[in-house]
Amino acid sequence: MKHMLAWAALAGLFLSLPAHGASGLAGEDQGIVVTPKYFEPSAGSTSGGMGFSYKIRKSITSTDLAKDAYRVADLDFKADGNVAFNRNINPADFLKTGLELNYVAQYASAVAQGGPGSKCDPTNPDTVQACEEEARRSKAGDALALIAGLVASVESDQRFEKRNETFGAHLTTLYRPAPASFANQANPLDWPFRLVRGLTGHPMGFSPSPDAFPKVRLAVERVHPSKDKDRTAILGDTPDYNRANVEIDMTSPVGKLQGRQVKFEWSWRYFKELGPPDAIQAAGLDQYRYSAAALSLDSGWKLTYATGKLPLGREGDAVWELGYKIKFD
Amino acid sequence: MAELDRSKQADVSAFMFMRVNGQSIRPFVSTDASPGMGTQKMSDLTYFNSAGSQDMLKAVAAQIAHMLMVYINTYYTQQRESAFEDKTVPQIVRVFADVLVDPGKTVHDLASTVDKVFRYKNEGSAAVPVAAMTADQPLSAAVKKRLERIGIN
Repeated sequence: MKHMLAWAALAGLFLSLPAHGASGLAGEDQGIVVTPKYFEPSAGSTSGGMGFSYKIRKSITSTDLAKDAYRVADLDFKADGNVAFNRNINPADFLKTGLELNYVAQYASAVAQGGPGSKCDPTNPDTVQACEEEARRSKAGDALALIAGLVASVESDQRFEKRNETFGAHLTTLYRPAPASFANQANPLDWPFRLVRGLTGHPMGFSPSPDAFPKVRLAVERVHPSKDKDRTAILGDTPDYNRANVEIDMTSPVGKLQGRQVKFEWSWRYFKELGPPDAIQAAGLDQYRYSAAALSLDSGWKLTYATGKLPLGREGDAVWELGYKIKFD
Repeated sequence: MAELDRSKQADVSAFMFMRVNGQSIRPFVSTDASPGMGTQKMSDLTYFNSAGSQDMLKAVAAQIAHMLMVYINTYYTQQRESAFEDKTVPQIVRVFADVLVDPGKTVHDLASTVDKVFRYKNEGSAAVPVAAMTADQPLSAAVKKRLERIGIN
């Protein structure tokens, strides 16, 4: 491979856009920079030639704030490249263009406390039981979060003959109902735990837990399976592929044991390859299901049951674990 | 590990938030029957799901962080310490979420972070510097008369 040297012939020629603060462009790196270059081969008989490199950075942040809600949108555009008018003398024939969009919208309200005639004083921890009782009757105290993201990039040589695309997108929705809302009261996932809480003397009693409302995350991603031995064995090589996945999580207090809380945690994940080759489908490598559930005592033991497989860790179909958390103070 | 302190409203607000939102059943300080909430790890609070993905945990931590901020603003204070006066709500949420997502951090750690961000009533008020600034300002006769009526000379 020939080694080339790039000379910046007109290094001072920068085309830059000014920064516009928080609502527009931000940061010193923002803008467009084009640098004309002279490429001089360090070996061989090829003569040199002109070209240019470019770097584009543009970020747009939009923030909309209110007392108890906010929306943040971040858009980052990045492009880098090294272009020679005679491509044979380009020492770094590589262009990369990427776009990243992140959007977060959150709303939250506080549970109602300390109304007229109330025995709850939020500034006095001695009144915490009265505050808990009021919170359980509260129609306020709900929260909603929507988190979305999109990442896409294209890498290529300067003639776009070799091209590699990557992308990913996700959407997470978290709804936490108010304690006395219908959604919280009717959530069937919490019914067995409500019963055990009531029977074990947990302070929440038979009341529902807003943490038990399911949380959902959807994602689509481009996977580079370079270390996937199974796919290599079946396909001979490891081309990139697209995969969708779903995750549903919940937690809930289960009860009270020795004065401490027992908690339940659960997560279910499903991965599905989009448009898989027949051989991958026949081998059952196009989809994976994984579920994990755990019971844990506050600063004590933890019992975990996991079943199914994750795409990157395919060991074991079902695992029971019993452990004790050791505190190092 | 450190216990919560009743004289610190930041500690009280973190404790009350966790209890009224069903995250913990521990008492304010340790008793013979139960350890205090100050020593409780994030991983033992109800919202913390070690079975789920890290992406989901970060999202849940940000939601709890926002709820904590709204709770403190509603029942304790809206004033911030000078280092956080110019921060936006999402920036403050990120500060709290960084603690909430760390399984090894304790409620005492969270309360300390809350204390660094918010200025509570017993820690002085932004009104004090304003009063100091206006102390030497001449008052009009009408304003003096109104102040005398309400007992301020």
